[in-house]
Amino acid sequence: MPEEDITPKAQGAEGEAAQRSSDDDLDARIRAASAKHIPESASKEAGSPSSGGIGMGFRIGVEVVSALVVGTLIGLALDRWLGTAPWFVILFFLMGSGAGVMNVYRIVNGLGYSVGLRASGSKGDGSDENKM
Amino acid sequence: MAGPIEQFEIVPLVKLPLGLDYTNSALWMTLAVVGSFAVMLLGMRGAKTVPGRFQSVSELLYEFIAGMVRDHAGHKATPYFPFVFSVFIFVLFGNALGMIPWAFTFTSHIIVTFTLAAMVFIFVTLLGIYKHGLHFFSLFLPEGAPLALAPIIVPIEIISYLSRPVSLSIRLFANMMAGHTMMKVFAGFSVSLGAALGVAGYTVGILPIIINVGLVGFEFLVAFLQAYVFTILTCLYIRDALELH
Repeated sequence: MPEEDITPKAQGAEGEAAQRSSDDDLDARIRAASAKHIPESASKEAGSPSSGGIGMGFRIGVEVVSALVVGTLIGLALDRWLGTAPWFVILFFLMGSGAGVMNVYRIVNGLGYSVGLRASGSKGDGSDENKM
Repeated sequence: MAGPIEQFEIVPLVKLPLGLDYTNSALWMTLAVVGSFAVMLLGMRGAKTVPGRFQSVSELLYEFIAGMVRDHAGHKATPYFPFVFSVFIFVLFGNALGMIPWAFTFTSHIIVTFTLAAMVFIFVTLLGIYKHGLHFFSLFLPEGAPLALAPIIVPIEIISYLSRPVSLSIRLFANMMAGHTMMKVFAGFSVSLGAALGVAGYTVGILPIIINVGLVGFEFLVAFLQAYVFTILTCLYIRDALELH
């Protein structure tokens, strides 16, 4: 593909690239380049809203409690529905605590808020662990 | 002397049938909506190259949220800017109007913040399903996880996903409620000191007031910061729904 050949040279010699490609092509490449640039600046920016240890601690507490609450509520609802007194509460309390630990693990490792263990948007370089 | 919790009491102002009373909470929500409209409309009327006060405020707000959406939700999220902006300005006005003496802080009620968070949650979930179809549910099983572990991982991931609106609402509500209660406790402390010890009590009672001055400043910071955090999490959730990694 000819466009692939032009791109690396264009960084060195702008005039040459402008001659070879039309204005539309240049526009498209500028747009592609800036679009590529945006997520990179974002992942660096994402670390900025920090509020120190207290904020971090409070956040972690909230995450654990909310996962536990959700798990226990699901367990209670299932028990009421199926009439299987304590079993679903016990099961989902444990599941909820697992989810709480999972949330904390994600925050502390800077994996962001995504479900799953993959890095959220960024490359997972750990630079955004102060996110609040 | 009013107790520190009485400021959160819901008082019906206009009685309506079916329990649809117009309460003080509803009044301040109305004021938040009217206030945000007023600021934005005044700012946009007769826009100049060199902005006036209101134009500066509305431009700052716009650029702040636009930058946040671009940086944290990605450039694909720009169609959802109006939603994010509405959420931000409503929470910000709720928090900030609550700093006016005798005002009611509607964001200090968990039902209000939970409704807001549930709205964000439902919006983000529908967005993800709309964009990715059933593939959206692959969110609940991390890539490369052994299928044998799915019965454990999937419920945990679902609980973790469902805990988002809960943690989002608890964070905002707890911050606002704790801050306002603390201000009231410190203010009430100097009053009861004076009532108990007379002149000596009023002299010592200056100390809690000095602390309260600091607390009021801190509360303004929290009012802004919590609106910011609420919005930034909304942006991150939108990003998750759009990109799905």
